[in-house]
Amino acid sequence: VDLRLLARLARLKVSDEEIGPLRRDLERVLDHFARIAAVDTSGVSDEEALASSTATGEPRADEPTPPLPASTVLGAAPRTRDGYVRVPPFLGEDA
Amino acid sequence: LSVHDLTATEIAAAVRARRLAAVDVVRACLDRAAELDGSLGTLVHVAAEEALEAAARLDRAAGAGEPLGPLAGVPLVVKDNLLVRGWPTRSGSRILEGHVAAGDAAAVARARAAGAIPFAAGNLDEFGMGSSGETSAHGPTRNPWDPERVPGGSSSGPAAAVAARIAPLALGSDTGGSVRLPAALCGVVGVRPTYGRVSRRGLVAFASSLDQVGPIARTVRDAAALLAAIAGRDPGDATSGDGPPIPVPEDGPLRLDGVRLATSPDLRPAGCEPDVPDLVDAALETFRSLGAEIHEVRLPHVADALAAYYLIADAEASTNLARYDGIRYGRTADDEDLRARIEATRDAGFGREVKRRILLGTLALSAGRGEELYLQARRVRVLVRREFQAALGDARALVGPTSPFAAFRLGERLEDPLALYACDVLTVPASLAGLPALSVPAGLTRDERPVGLQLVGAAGGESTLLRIAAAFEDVTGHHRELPRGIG
Repeated sequence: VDLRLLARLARLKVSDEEIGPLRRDLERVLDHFARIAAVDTSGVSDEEALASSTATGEPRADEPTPPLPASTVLGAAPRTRDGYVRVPPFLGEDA
Repeated sequence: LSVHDLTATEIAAAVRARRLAAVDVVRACLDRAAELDGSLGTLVHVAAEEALEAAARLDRAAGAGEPLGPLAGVPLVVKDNLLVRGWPTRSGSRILEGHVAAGDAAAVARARAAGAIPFAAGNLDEFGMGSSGETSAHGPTRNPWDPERVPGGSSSGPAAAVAARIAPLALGSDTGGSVRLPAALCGVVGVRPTYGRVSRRGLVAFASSLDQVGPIARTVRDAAALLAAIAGRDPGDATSGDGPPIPVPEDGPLRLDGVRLATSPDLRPAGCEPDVPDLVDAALETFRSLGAEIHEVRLPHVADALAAYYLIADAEASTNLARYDGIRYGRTADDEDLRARIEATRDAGFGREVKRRILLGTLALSAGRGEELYLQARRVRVLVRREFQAALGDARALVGPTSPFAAFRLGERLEDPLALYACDVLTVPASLAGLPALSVPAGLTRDERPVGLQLVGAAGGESTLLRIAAAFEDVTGHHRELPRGIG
């Protein structure tokens, strides 16, 4: 397992001390979970496997309802300015 | 008789009849929380003033002869991953430090409408990711039966608070067993409804194809009353729908003549603590004495369910938790570079177990591994669902243990993810299949630790499950056994 790549994909910083134990944990878990590769799933189509089989409801009516007040939404964000959420520069970023 | 000896339904009846003031009920729970919670770690926020005001309003309404709901005056603990307006909901995580809920979760709003009074937020494993109640940023919850042991997770605080009689009733959430498991280990009742039966609006998302909100109570009838109050379609959750009504089972003793139940050797995995199968056998004998017929089925895919569950749940978690980027919620790091800010926020904000899950989920969805891991897990999920549906075609419920073992010692499994995940081996199949399941006390091990009996039913079969569980509870009285030292 390329833990540094995974961490980068997951936007997690993993310190040099953490990397060994995390890789060991992950590899143990994966070894154990590898058992599902041996399960005969030939009777299950990909369509059925990936169907949203658990959704039970109908979509709600497409009618406008009052949104959360802007002040409430902004109140949840850690950094704001002049009624906007403040973010670091991101254009040109390879993130 | 003190307030703590009353069930939720008894409290509501007394408040409606003005034999008991809601204010006194809430005050009694607050006092008990002050007395016991310091050593148990069940609560992460107590809204004393707000709850006393709500109770006073209710008492005035009672005095004015206004109609009161089925849960009138019943103090409620709410798991800290369900939003309660104005409360500092953190889902047990450092990353949501400073977050204040803008409104009530749907289940909370419905419980309030039925008369319940949310008075405290219950501790939980961080983002619901844990089976022992030990991964919370607030610190571990302890089991009222033995403070050196875990209460089970992830709804650790709600279950332990109900067991310690700090509250008669609590709201939890169950992704892979997070209501049923702590209910079993704490000797109380916990219900996971059919997927879609209860709205998740306002529930902090963990794994959206699995998350469900459910009640925790001391009796089956109390759990039924809370479930009835919170169930039903909500436009705020497109997966929610209406189902058959959920009546509170009538007063017992109930009979189960001719009711067909199934059990399976596949629900007794290797590694079961010896007292667990013994108590399940005793429960099956009880069901026979009530008139039920019991037959055996095979469920070979139960053994594969754990891996399928963790791959799917963690894949969904890795995407759901992408929203914690230090921009939209909670705390943030100081870096002025975007990626560095996000990574530093998540590094400081997430605990070890949450990082493990995000990494596993990211791997399960990654190019090259997605086919063998995530897609194969989804195929196995279909097999589990088919197997359970087939078994339930000929039985009203599947009966087995909720957990292979009773409460274990704090720290015993925390450092070994596989040992921790093994707690969920019997609860994840119903989650994968989207079926309702509950845990009801089945008695104590020889060293006095509670064991839970799990009943799994057909989709929409909550009322059947509750009735079977109520019959069991009436005749065994296991729910009346109380933790020593919690008088």
